[in-house]
Amino acid sequence: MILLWGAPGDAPLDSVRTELDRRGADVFLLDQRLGARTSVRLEIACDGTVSGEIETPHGLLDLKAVRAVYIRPLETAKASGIASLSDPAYVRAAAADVAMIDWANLTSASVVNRPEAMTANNSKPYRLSLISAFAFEVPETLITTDVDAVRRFCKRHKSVVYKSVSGVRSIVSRLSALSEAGLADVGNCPTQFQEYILGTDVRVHVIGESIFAIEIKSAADDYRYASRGGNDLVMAPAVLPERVAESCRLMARNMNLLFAGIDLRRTADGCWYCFEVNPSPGFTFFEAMTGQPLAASVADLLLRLNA
Amino acid sequence: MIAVLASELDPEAQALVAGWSDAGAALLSAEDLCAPGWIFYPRDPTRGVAIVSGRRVKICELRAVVTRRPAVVAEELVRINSADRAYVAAETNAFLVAWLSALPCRVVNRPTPNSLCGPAWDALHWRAAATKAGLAWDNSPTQKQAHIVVVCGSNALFARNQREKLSALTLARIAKVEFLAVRVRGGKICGASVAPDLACKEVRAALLKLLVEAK
Repeated sequence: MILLWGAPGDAPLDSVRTELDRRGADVFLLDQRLGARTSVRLEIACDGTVSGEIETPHGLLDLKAVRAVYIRPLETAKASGIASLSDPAYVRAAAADVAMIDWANLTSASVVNRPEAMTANNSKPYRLSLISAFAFEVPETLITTDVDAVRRFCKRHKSVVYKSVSGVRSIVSRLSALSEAGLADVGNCPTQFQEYILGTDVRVHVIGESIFAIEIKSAADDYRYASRGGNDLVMAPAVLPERVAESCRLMARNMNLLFAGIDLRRTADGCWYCFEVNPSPGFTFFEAMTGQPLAASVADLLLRLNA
Repeated sequence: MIAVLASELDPEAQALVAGWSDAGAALLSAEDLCAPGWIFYPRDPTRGVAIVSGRRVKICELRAVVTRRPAVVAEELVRINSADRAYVAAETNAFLVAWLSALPCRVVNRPTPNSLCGPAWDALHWRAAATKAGLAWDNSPTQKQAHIVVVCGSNALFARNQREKLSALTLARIAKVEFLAVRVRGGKICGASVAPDLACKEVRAALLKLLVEAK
């Protein structure tokens, strides 16, 4: 059986579910919105294997039957719609989420992706340090609360961008857009600065051993927000050099990611930089722009893992 | 210098710093983390600067770091505008994960992306890790008192026999930590914590020895 865990309405979860239904797969959807009415009971056997069952308003699931899992959990408050942390319904929903994360980390079923493998994205510079072990360039980076260090860094590099240090989504922006007043705020919070790398953005989705590359053209510093700045965004399927494709596969495998969204930039002199590896890609945006069969490929991966 | 990353409200950490004053221990507080002056180049952490007890410290002057907190929480950041505290706490934790992972000196314990002082495992995870390694686990609901074995580097303090010592060291190795409290009952493990109690003089002495010995 394939288990899907998340909140219906989440586009990637919905599209994978649709593709699995189309293939007649044996699927159990664990609806995170019903977390307050869900209980998860786990047991550890004497050999360390985890088993248990999930009781939901839609039925009981013996976790032993699950061979493959696709998880897209939201924060408990967001999924359950319960804002008060002291609300007993919130406490029940949070307990169910914690137990599911435990199970997803410990189960012998194949998980796309295990929560532990995803947490490296909580710290962008930490993830970058992992990336630097592979055959990609990484941009020179400074994290600081020292305004003078920022000024020195800017002098060394022609152009500099800044972005959040954590997994909190931020718009990558050139430093020229940061006012002196904004620069003063650096003294209160560690802020990440990177040399700006001129080149062409390439987004790569690694799904099992399959590679889907997309070349992106936009004048925006952060193509994800191109429309906000009135910039065009053009995406087209691309073919990676085999060496780069293999590095993407190897990196995803080593990071224990069965599915990853990798942000690359190719420079004019043929260098390949890697900025981020997203362990839970919101791939439907890219699928809609290019027509690449990403949801279908994730569904096929889950079917193979379930076989 | 030995930096003790802890809350100013943590009395054990305060006592540790006071007791290790001769070894140059100083508290690295939440206030330090939001102070101007931090510099971290992930590619070359040795070029960096930290702020410890309000003082600028070159990374090459740091002999060791002791991590005594799983995270910095927003409520501690009293100098930061309350509307920005949650964001600053998230950024600070993300920074610390990268910084503590990259430091060339000894860090006890090294962080994981989930926790600044080692793996953020709950009881179920500790039990799964232990039993998978073939270590006996006592899950009985008995009220019988457990005793604590403290792993500190390659030592297992208070182990009553070779089996307890090996079990505790094995669990620490699996968790990839150098400092671990392992609860033992009837010869079986029944719990573990990456933040051993520092009230005991023997534990503090063993930890200091671990910190100052060559990596």
